[in-house]
Amino acid sequence: MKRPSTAGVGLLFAAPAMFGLFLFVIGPTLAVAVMSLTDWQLGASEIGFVGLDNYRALPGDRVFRTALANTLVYAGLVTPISVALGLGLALLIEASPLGRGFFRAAFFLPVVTTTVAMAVVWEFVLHPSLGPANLMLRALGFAPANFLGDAGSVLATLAAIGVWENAGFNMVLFLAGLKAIPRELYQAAAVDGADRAWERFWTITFPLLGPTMLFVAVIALLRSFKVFEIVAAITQGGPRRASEVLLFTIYQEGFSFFRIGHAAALTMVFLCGLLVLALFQIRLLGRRVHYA
Amino acid sequence: MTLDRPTATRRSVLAGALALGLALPATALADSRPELVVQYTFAVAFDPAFERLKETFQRENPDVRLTFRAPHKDYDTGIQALLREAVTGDMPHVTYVGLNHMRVVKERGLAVELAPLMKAEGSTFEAQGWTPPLQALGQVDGQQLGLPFAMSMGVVYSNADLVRRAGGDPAALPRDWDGLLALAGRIGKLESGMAGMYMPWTGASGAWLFQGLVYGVGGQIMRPGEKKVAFDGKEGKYAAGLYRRMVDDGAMPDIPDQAARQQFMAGRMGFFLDSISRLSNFERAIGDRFELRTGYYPLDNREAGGLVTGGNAAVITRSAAKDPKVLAAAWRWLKFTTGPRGTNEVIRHVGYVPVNVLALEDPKLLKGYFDDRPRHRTAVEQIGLVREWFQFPGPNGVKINDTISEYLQAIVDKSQTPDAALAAMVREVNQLLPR
Amino acid sequence: MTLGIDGIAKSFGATPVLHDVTLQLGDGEFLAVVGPSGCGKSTLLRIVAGLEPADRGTVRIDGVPVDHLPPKARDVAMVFQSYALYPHMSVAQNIALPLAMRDLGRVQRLPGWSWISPRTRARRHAIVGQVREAAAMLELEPLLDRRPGQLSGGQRQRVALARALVRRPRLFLLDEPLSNLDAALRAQTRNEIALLQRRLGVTTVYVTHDQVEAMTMASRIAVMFAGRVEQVGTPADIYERPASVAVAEFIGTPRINLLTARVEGDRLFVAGRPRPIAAAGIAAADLLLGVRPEALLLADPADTRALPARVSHVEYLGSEGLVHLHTDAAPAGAVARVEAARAAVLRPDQAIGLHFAPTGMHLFGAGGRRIAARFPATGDGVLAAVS
Repeated sequence: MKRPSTAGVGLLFAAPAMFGLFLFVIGPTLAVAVMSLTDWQLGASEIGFVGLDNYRALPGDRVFRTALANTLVYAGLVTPISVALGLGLALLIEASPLGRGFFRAAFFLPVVTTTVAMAVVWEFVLHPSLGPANLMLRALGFAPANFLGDAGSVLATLAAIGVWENAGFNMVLFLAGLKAIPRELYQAAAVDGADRAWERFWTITFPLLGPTMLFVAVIALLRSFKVFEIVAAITQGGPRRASEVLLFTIYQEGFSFFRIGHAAALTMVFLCGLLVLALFQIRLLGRRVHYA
Repeated sequence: MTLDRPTATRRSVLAGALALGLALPATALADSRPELVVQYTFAVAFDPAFERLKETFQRENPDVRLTFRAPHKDYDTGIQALLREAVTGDMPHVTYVGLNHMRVVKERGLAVELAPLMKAEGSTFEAQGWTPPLQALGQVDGQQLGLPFAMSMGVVYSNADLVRRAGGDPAALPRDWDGLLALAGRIGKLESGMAGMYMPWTGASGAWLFQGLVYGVGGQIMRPGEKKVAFDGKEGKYAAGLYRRMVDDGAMPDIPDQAARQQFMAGRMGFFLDSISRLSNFERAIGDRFELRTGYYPLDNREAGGLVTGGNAAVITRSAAKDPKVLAAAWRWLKFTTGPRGTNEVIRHVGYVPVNVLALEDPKLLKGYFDDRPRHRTAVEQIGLVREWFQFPGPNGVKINDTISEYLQAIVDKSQTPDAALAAMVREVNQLLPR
Repeated sequence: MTLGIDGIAKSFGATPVLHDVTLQLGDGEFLAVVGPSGCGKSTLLRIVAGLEPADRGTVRIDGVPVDHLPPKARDVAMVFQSYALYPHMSVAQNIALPLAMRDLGRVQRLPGWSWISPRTRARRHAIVGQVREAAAMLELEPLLDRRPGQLSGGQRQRVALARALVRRPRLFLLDEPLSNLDAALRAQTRNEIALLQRRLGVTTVYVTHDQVEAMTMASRIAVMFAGRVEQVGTPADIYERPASVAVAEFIGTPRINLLTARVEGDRLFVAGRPRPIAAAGIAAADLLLGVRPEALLLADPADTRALPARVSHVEYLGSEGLVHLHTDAAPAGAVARVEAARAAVLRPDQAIGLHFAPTGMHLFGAGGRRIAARFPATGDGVLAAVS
């Protein structure tokens, strides 16, 4: 009897996972790609092939352009700030002799709470006249701010909420990364003359966090591009589309406006954009990352 | 089932499966009655009413087996599910569709036309309380695709305590915009952080209430046969201008819909203009914090003006048409739920506006019901003014409402003049309409 | 440079790890601190380096207390057991780091600053020279551009040494530097470090659990047990006059043989067999007689003055032989070091007699302390050689 080859057996073992991957990831993506070439409307019995019309219409689509710009601004704010803040929190917690567990839990809490539930809380906190945030501003003698209702401030406010949501997640990843740095390196650095916090950070911590940093940065970028729930729950893209972000546009076009073809084209653009960004980031950062 | 030995387990599982396989067709054979599958929306609000309706219907129609599918959360998820089910061929036989989605139902060809069924009833149909204006609510482009089941319309919710403090009479609020805005303005000046009024321009009610303003001065949304909107004239300008006046004269804050609701419930706002369907929501949230009243929606043109209507209609879907017995059962159910007795249950358990006026005159049903319910009565007394909830044709129908909201926002936050915003709105909406 | 360790005590929480440790090192001296793991020797080294504060006591370098100084101000260099090389830096950068930290200011260290400042450029240049020099000393020149991850264990160890000696510290601290190397490499590196130390003349503290390293490298050895220094002395001192049973057992391979013994007047009894002893004021208490394996001499089993024993097994090592023995006097068994030719003819279970050579005998009293005693020769050694 012939023994099956190693590759054959490997393929056999991988088959269930491959099947799942195809069924739940690759298959649907292909389906969306096909749909993006049609004018199909949700529930419609006829379907027409329109080639690249859906894509050609995008550059001229005001909503798409606004959503793209808003998403870029949002990710541009949330990614670096939440990564830096997550790193800062991780360093503080790691250095603090007291209350580690408490602070870790406190900052991680936003990650495990339901965004939609937290949206209600934020809506109340930032309420233009009743919210504690504005009561405080007023008590300090400032003019109250219409955080979520003003087209000029809504995106920044959502970004701040996004930072609050993501910093804890990044912090936990950084904490794990910090744990992996051998203590002896810090001692060697101290003997070699690098013993101030700043010197320790740049000599040891920062370079050795490289792999973690890359991972966190990519994840944070993807997560910030995926902003949706908070927009859907609080602002619905308003006022005047100032908080319109890509994922919300896709949802609205597809499931509120039933324009599946258009939504599918948006989805493909979104997917490709994310893919390109993540690859670019890995290339750029990966070159400087040291894997021990 | 015994689980002590594997063999025994396997055998008993097999036996169970076999029994199940035999039993299923058996029960189906035993119950040869046609099955009528019904799905409704807004579970929290409508559950009690539908339970009562099912009980009565089943008693009077033992030849039909009625089953409910799990109800949908709201009109949007309802229509989304219906559209998906249309693709998979799994629609319920009767469903309740938001009036704003009736056009989608028509364009996707989801519903059975009701005119032949109505005609078969002869002249008694209108006599049963389905008046022509009522029928019109279930029509799209003249096709009768549904019968209205529950109906809502705009009212003025007022904080009577604040109205009194500002020198107004909560029992007799001004019925014109000038008067209402002036009173709201005075309320806004009562103290810092107080708002005069709010009328949503975004969200579910935004574009709907805008239609109401256009109807209110006798305008129209689209003229029949045209491919452009009809609110680019003086009625539209008047309606658009009103939003700016609400801010300037009526002390309306430029805040999101939900934030404004919270502020009204907190007793920091004079008036909230919205659908009567919000009544029970407001009543629960406000409790005894202040005296909540409802007032007539302002109407500047008493002769030609009207009010916009919301709510849902009962629709028989295509899937009921496959079996004449099911279709007949569906038609019976439709008449039952949208008729006087259905209206009776809806009003008593949900708090909407009655659709079938016959119920109002029947002492066994609703006659006298509203006498000691002044908040509900306001809406009932406005029934004569109802106009259809206009649905824009074409694939962008829903998106157009969103676009209208966006320009109303520009008027309220003063980034554009009302006229400029209206002009841009009209231009963009016309582009989205099918040529 | 001299190092003074004076009355150092340290506890971690409720666990004391060092009790009143006092050591003195002269200029250029190589002191090995040896002891079983957990005896506190590494902690002592870290206290000297300034990585750990002492609870009590003083560390002096050149007579000046340094207890309040951070590690970098003490001008000491340390080689860690794991080498603690910076994995993201090249070998050259690793070696250069201590110099850069010492010779360049915070601003001057910024990347690209030497483009702007000629002074910085000159200093950087000097650093490169010193790095080359250190690398040359340890034959690391071909590896300067590699990362630690690309080096073998021995190479990493040399990089750690180069990094430690590049700035010519006043004091060299090595914490088990050879424990991650294989046996052959360890023997070789042992030599290299000893030679290097002698060449540079840097005062050195070398912590190890391996008594062979301590014996072969150090000019003096401090043996530590349970947070205390048991004995300090030259390797010969320690071997020939162990201060306690513990030291005698720890130093020397194979381990010293311990036999129960009794002294009555001027006679020492082992398993009832007497031999003369000259020791002052010893009661007839139970004592331990330590006999180094090379001092255990095999005799004819018929010799009634010899201690009867039985061969349990024989290790033939080529240059010599180790004979493992059963005897009533040594409950844990005994080992004799014999000539290879002798070992080759012995068979397990063979009966044999034992005599002791006086030079390898140590008497320990209560508490395991050494008892000063002389063992007059009896001429038994000749007998052993005959049989």
